[in-house]
Amino acid sequence: MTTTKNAANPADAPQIHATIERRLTFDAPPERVWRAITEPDEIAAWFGDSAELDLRPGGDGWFGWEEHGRFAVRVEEVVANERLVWRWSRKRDTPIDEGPSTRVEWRLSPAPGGGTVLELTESGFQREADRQDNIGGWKHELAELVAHVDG
Amino acid sequence: MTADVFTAVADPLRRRLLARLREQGPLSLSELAAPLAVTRQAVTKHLDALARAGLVRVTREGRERVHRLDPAPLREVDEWLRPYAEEWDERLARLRAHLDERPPQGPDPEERP
Repeated sequence: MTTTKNAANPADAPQIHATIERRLTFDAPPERVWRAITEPDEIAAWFGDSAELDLRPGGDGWFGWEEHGRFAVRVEEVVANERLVWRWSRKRDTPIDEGPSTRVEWRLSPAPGGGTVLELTESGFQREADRQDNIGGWKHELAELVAHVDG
Repeated sequence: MTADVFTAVADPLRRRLLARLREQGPLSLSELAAPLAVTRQAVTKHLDALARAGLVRVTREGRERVHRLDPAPLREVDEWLRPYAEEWDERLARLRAHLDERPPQGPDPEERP
Protein backbone atom coordinates (compact mmCIF):
# COMPACT_ATOMS: atom_id res chain seq x y z
CA MET A 1 0.00 0.00 0.00
CA THR A 2 1.23 3.43 -0.83
CA THR A 3 1.67 6.08 1.76
CA THR A 4 0.50 9.55 0.90
CA LYS A 5 1.54 12.84 2.33
CA ASN A 6 -0.94 15.31 3.61
CA ALA A 7 0.42 18.76 3.03
CA ALA A 8 -2.06 20.29 5.43
CA ASN A 9 -0.42 18.79 8.48
CA PRO A 10 2.46 20.42 10.27
CA ALA A 11 5.59 18.48 9.50
CA ASP A 12 6.98 18.81 13.00
CA ALA A 13 4.18 17.00 14.82
CA PRO A 14 4.68 13.25 15.18
CA GLN A 15 1.75 11.56 13.52
CA ILE A 16 0.66 8.04 13.01
CA HIS A 17 -1.52 7.08 10.10
CA ALA A 18 -4.13 4.40 10.35
CA THR A 19 -6.04 2.53 7.68
CA ILE A 20 -9.47 0.96 7.44
CA GLU A 21 -10.01 -1.88 4.99
CA ARG A 22 -13.21 -3.52 3.87
CA ARG A 23 -13.90 -6.20 1.28
CA LEU A 24 -17.30 -7.34 0.15
CA THR A 25 -19.10 -8.91 -2.78
CA PHE A 26 -22.13 -7.60 -4.65
CA ASP A 27 -24.43 -9.48 -7.02
CA ALA A 28 -24.35 -6.50 -9.42
CA PRO A 29 -21.61 -6.40 -12.09
CA PRO A 30 -18.66 -3.97 -11.82
CA GLU A 31 -20.21 -1.55 -14.34
CA ARG A 32 -23.28 -1.18 -12.14
CA VAL A 33 -21.26 -0.73 -8.93
CA TRP A 34 -19.04 1.77 -10.76
CA ARG A 35 -22.05 3.94 -11.60
CA ALA A 36 -23.23 3.76 -8.00
CA ILE A 37 -19.92 5.11 -6.72
CA THR A 38 -19.23 7.69 -9.43
CA GLU A 39 -22.49 9.32 -10.59
CA PRO A 40 -23.63 12.12 -8.26
CA ASP A 41 -27.31 11.10 -8.31
CA GLU A 42 -26.34 7.54 -7.52
CA ILE A 43 -23.90 8.56 -4.78
CA ALA A 44 -26.55 10.76 -3.19
CA ALA A 45 -28.92 7.79 -3.06
CA TRP A 46 -26.79 5.84 -0.58
CA PHE A 47 -23.74 7.77 0.57
CA GLY A 48 -25.22 11.03 1.78
CA ASP A 49 -28.04 13.33 0.84
CA SER A 50 -26.42 15.17 -2.06
CA ALA A 51 -23.22 14.97 -4.09
CA GLU A 52 -21.16 16.60 -6.81
CA LEU A 53 -18.19 14.88 -8.40
CA ASP A 54 -16.01 15.91 -11.33
CA LEU A 55 -14.84 12.44 -12.34
CA ARG A 56 -11.27 13.02 -13.50
CA PRO A 57 -7.93 13.25 -11.70
CA GLY A 58 -7.81 16.60 -9.92
CA GLY A 59 -11.58 17.02 -10.26
CA ASP A 60 -13.34 18.58 -7.28
CA GLY A 61 -16.67 17.82 -5.68
CA TRP A 62 -18.42 17.42 -2.38
CA PHE A 63 -20.62 15.05 -0.45
CA GLY A 64 -23.45 16.60 1.52
CA TRP A 65 -25.45 15.54 4.55
CA GLU A 66 -28.40 17.56 5.77
CA GLU A 67 -27.28 17.04 9.34
CA HIS A 68 -23.54 17.42 8.94
CA GLY A 69 -22.96 19.82 6.04
CA ARG A 70 -20.76 19.47 2.97
CA PHE A 71 -17.41 17.75 2.81
CA ALA A 72 -14.99 18.59 0.00
CA VAL A 73 -13.75 15.79 -2.26
CA ARG A 74 -10.92 15.71 -4.79
CA VAL A 75 -10.54 12.89 -7.29
CA GLU A 76 -7.03 11.43 -7.58
CA GLU A 77 -7.35 8.41 -9.88
CA VAL A 78 -10.01 7.08 -12.24
CA VAL A 79 -9.89 3.74 -14.07
CA ALA A 80 -13.43 3.08 -15.27
CA ASN A 81 -15.09 0.04 -13.66
CA GLU A 82 -11.88 -0.85 -11.83
CA ARG A 83 -10.40 1.78 -9.62
CA LEU A 84 -11.40 5.10 -8.08
CA VAL A 85 -9.41 7.14 -5.62
CA TRP A 86 -10.53 10.32 -3.96
CA ARG A 87 -9.49 12.31 -0.97
CA TRP A 88 -12.07 13.94 1.27
CA SER A 89 -11.91 16.55 3.91
CA ARG A 90 -12.25 15.59 7.55
CA LYS A 91 -13.84 18.96 8.33
CA ARG A 92 -17.10 20.26 7.00
CA ASP A 93 -17.14 23.21 4.61
CA THR A 94 -13.35 23.15 4.43
CA PRO A 95 -11.53 23.20 1.08
CA ILE A 96 -9.54 20.03 0.51
CA ASP A 97 -6.21 21.88 0.64
CA GLU A 98 -6.96 23.70 3.87
CA GLY A 99 -7.45 20.94 6.40
CA PRO A 100 -6.83 17.29 7.16
CA SER A 101 -8.21 14.76 4.72
CA THR A 102 -8.26 11.01 4.25
CA ARG A 103 -7.79 9.03 1.06
CA VAL A 104 -10.39 6.53 -0.08
CA GLU A 105 -9.50 3.90 -2.64
CA TRP A 106 -12.15 1.74 -4.33
CA ARG A 107 -11.05 -1.34 -6.23
CA LEU A 108 -13.62 -3.29 -8.23
CA SER A 109 -13.09 -6.69 -9.80
CA PRO A 110 -15.43 -9.23 -11.36
CA ALA A 111 -16.66 -11.93 -8.99
CA PRO A 112 -17.60 -15.43 -10.16
CA GLY A 113 -21.23 -15.49 -11.30
CA GLY A 114 -21.25 -11.96 -12.66
CA GLY A 115 -20.97 -10.04 -9.40
CA THR A 116 -18.38 -7.64 -8.11
CA VAL A 117 -15.74 -7.78 -5.43
CA LEU A 118 -15.25 -4.38 -3.83
CA GLU A 119 -12.13 -3.67 -1.84
CA LEU A 120 -12.18 -0.36 -0.03
CA THR A 121 -9.33 1.30 1.82
CA GLU A 122 -9.52 4.54 3.72
CA SER A 123 -6.11 5.72 4.84
CA GLY A 124 -4.61 8.72 6.52
CA PHE A 125 -6.52 8.77 9.80
CA GLN A 126 -4.19 10.67 11.98
CA ARG A 127 -3.52 10.98 15.59
CA GLU A 128 -0.64 12.74 17.20
CA ALA A 129 1.60 10.56 19.28
CA ASP A 130 2.31 12.05 22.67
CA ARG A 131 6.08 11.95 22.43
CA GLN A 132 8.65 12.85 19.80
CA ASP A 133 9.26 9.63 17.93
CA ASN A 134 9.45 8.06 14.55
CA ILE A 135 6.64 8.67 12.14
CA GLY A 136 5.25 5.60 10.49
CA GLY A 137 2.34 4.36 8.45
CA TRP A 138 0.34 1.52 9.87
CA LYS A 139 0.35 -1.64 7.90
CA HIS A 140 -1.44 -4.94 7.75
CA GLU A 141 0.36 -6.40 10.69
CA LEU A 142 -1.13 -3.79 12.97
CA ALA A 143 -4.63 -4.38 11.66
CA GLU A 144 -4.09 -8.06 12.36
CA LEU A 145 -2.86 -7.29 15.83
CA VAL A 146 -5.88 -5.15 16.55
CA ALA A 147 -8.16 -7.89 15.23
CA HIS A 148 -6.28 -10.26 17.51
CA VAL A 149 -7.26 -8.16 20.52
CA ASP A 150 -10.95 -8.68 19.90
CA GLY A 151 -10.60 -12.21 18.57
CA MET B 1 5.98 5.74 33.13
CA THR B 2 3.58 4.08 30.77
CA ALA B 3 4.29 5.08 27.19
CA ASP B 4 1.55 5.94 24.75
CA VAL B 5 0.50 2.89 22.74
CA PHE B 6 0.10 5.09 19.63
CA THR B 7 3.73 6.11 19.92
CA ALA B 8 4.78 2.51 20.45
CA VAL B 9 3.18 1.31 17.22
CA ALA B 10 4.19 4.34 15.14
CA ASP B 11 7.58 2.75 14.45
CA PRO B 12 7.79 0.18 11.61
CA LEU B 13 10.48 -1.92 13.30
CA ARG B 14 8.43 -2.13 16.47
CA ARG B 15 5.43 -3.26 14.46
CA ARG B 16 7.57 -5.99 12.91
CA LEU B 17 8.63 -7.14 16.35
CA LEU B 18 5.01 -7.25 17.50
CA ALA B 19 3.98 -9.15 14.37
CA ARG B 20 6.70 -11.77 14.94
CA LEU B 21 5.69 -12.24 18.56
CA ARG B 22 2.09 -12.66 17.44
CA GLU B 23 2.94 -15.17 14.73
CA GLN B 24 5.70 -17.13 16.45
CA GLY B 25 4.89 -16.84 20.13
CA PRO B 26 7.40 -15.94 22.84
CA LEU B 27 10.94 -15.26 21.54
CA SER B 28 14.34 -14.44 22.97
CA LEU B 29 16.30 -11.33 22.07
CA SER B 30 18.59 -13.41 19.82
CA GLU B 31 15.65 -14.88 17.98
CA LEU B 32 14.04 -11.48 17.53
CA ALA B 33 17.24 -9.79 16.37
CA ALA B 34 18.45 -12.54 14.00
CA PRO B 35 16.43 -11.71 10.85
CA LEU B 36 16.74 -7.95 11.28
CA ALA B 37 19.48 -5.79 9.81
CA VAL B 38 19.90 -3.89 13.06
CA THR B 39 22.03 -4.34 16.15
CA ARG B 40 20.89 -6.24 19.23
CA GLN B 41 21.19 -2.95 21.12
CA ALA B 42 18.71 -1.32 18.76
CA VAL B 43 16.30 -4.22 19.12
CA THR B 44 16.65 -4.02 22.91
CA LYS B 45 15.81 -0.33 22.82
CA HIS B 46 12.68 -0.97 20.78
CA LEU B 47 11.63 -3.88 22.99
CA ASP B 48 11.98 -1.57 26.00
CA ALA B 49 9.70 0.94 24.28
CA LEU B 50 7.15 -1.80 23.63
CA ALA B 51 7.43 -2.99 27.23
CA ARG B 52 6.83 0.54 28.56
CA ALA B 53 3.62 0.66 26.51
CA GLY B 54 2.60 -2.69 28.01
CA LEU B 55 2.67 -4.44 24.63
CA VAL B 56 5.54 -6.79 25.49
CA ARG B 57 6.03 -8.72 28.72
CA VAL B 58 9.46 -10.04 29.59
CA THR B 59 9.98 -13.17 31.67
CA ARG B 60 13.11 -15.10 32.55
CA GLU B 61 13.19 -18.71 31.43
CA GLY B 62 16.42 -20.41 32.45
CA ARG B 63 19.29 -18.33 31.18
CA GLU B 64 17.20 -16.37 28.69
CA ARG B 65 14.81 -13.48 28.80
CA VAL B 66 11.71 -14.33 26.80
CA HIS B 67 9.49 -11.72 25.19
CA ARG B 68 5.78 -12.23 24.96
CA LEU B 69 3.11 -10.17 23.20
CA ASP B 70 0.36 -8.61 25.29
CA PRO B 71 -2.12 -7.11 22.81
CA ALA B 72 -4.42 -5.64 25.47
CA PRO B 73 -3.19 -2.01 25.13
CA LEU B 74 -4.10 -2.12 21.43
CA ARG B 75 -7.72 -1.92 22.49
CA GLU B 76 -7.17 1.81 22.74
CA VAL B 77 -6.10 1.92 19.09
CA ASP B 78 -9.05 -0.20 18.09
CA GLU B 79 -11.49 2.00 19.97
CA TRP B 80 -10.13 5.12 18.32
CA LEU B 81 -10.57 3.69 14.82
CA ARG B 82 -13.77 1.73 15.34
CA PRO B 83 -16.31 4.54 14.79
CA TYR B 84 -14.75 5.30 11.38
CA ALA B 85 -14.87 1.63 10.43
CA GLU B 86 -18.49 1.37 11.53
CA GLU B 87 -19.39 4.33 9.34
CA TRP B 88 -18.09 2.40 6.34
CA ASP B 89 -20.02 -0.70 7.34
CA GLU B 90 -23.19 1.38 7.39
CA ARG B 91 -22.43 3.12 4.09
CA LEU B 92 -21.60 -0.13 2.33
CA ALA B 93 -24.77 -1.74 3.66
CA ARG B 94 -26.70 1.16 2.11
CA LEU B 95 -24.78 0.73 -1.16
CA ARG B 96 -25.77 -2.94 -1.20
CA ALA B 97 -29.42 -2.06 -0.58
CA HIS B 98 -29.24 0.60 -3.29
CA LEU B 99 -27.81 -1.87 -5.83
CA ASP B 100 -30.46 -4.45 -4.98
CA GLU B 101 -33.19 -1.90 -5.64
CA ARG B 102 -31.95 -1.20 -9.15
CA PRO B 103 -30.94 -4.46 -10.82
CA PRO B 104 -28.31 -4.33 -13.59
CA GLN B 105 -30.77 -5.60 -16.24
CA GLY B 106 -32.60 -2.26 -16.25
CA PRO B 107 -32.24 0.18 -19.14
CA ASP B 108 -29.18 2.39 -19.02
CA PRO B 109 -30.11 5.91 -20.15
CA GLU B 110 -26.48 6.62 -21.06
CA GLU B 111 -26.46 3.89 -23.65
CA ARG B 112 -29.84 4.87 -25.17
CA PRO B 113 -29.67 8.44 -26.32
